[in-house]
Amino acid sequence: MRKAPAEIHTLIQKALSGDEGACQRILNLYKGRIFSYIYRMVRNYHDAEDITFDTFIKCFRALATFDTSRPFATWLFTIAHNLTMDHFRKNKIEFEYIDEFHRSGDDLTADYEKKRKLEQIDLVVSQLPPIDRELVILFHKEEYSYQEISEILSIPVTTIKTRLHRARRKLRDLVHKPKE
Amino acid sequence: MKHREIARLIQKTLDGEISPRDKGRLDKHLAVCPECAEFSREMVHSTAALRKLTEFYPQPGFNDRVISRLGLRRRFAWAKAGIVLVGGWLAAALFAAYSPLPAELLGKIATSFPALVRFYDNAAIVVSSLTSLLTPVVKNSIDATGPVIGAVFSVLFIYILGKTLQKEAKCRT
Repeated sequence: MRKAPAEIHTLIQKALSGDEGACQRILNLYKGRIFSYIYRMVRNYHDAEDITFDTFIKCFRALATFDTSRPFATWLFTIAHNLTMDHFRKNKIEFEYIDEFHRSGDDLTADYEKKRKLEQIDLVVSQLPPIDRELVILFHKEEYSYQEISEILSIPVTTIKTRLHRARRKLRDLVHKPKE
Repeated sequence: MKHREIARLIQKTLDGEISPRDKGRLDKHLAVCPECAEFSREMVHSTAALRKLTEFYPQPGFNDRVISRLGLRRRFAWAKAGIVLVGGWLAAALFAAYSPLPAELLGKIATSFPALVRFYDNAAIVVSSLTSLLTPVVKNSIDATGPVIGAVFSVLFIYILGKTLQKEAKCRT
């Protein structure tokens, strides 16, 4: 897992006492990761923003109940995951590829090719079933351990392992064996 | 070694859970089996790329929306407004007490708007009656009207401000 910022516990204490600056700092530290994760799950910018918003509101309102012996990011991802699942349930979402995601890049930039490849990977990830998508993002992008993913998703480690192995194979097939 | 077994070891490598012994066995096999070597490369490549995926961000102003929903900025605005009001109140009181300008201004208004004077006279009667009810010590003393009104409004203002701050403190906890 990514290393948590050293000052996170101080920030939490300050945020609990209503310090706006501390809340801003927490938002700046985690909003990118949380938003990216949710966006890759729901594939819609506005929905992702709404869920990210709700995640942080819920997080700050429940901050007093946060167990400081646990990693803060794991707790935050748990909230994000639960709200994303609520969104899926509420909207009976069909998990399909949405074209708006595939944005045009800047053709003149030097790292265009690299960027294009990453977009391709992102596109491929979006084609995975939601549970597989979530697992590969949490394990390979967010670098969470099996135990932490198990806490976030409330699924046994053995199930996560099996599913992740299957997801990796699918990912590899999609990346290296494109449909004709 | 069977390909199925190799696939399992490759997965273990990606999990970060492969033992040195298994790593040795895997490397040995990959060196002689191009099919498994390619599969291993593809597996590593497709998952390694995930780490470099772009990070997306919500629209600018996202933090402000969260902060204002939490009511933090509102609390700050209330505190600020309270300071401004108290300051304004004090400044107005000092100005009214020590500056000759208000009296001059009132004189000018009185000559320009006689209806206003009549209204003021009527209001003074009402205030005087109220004053006599509220403060028996200063009853019938028209000079006491100003300070009494000031005192009543000050108490009212302090009460409202206190209640507001109390409410905000509750909201914070």
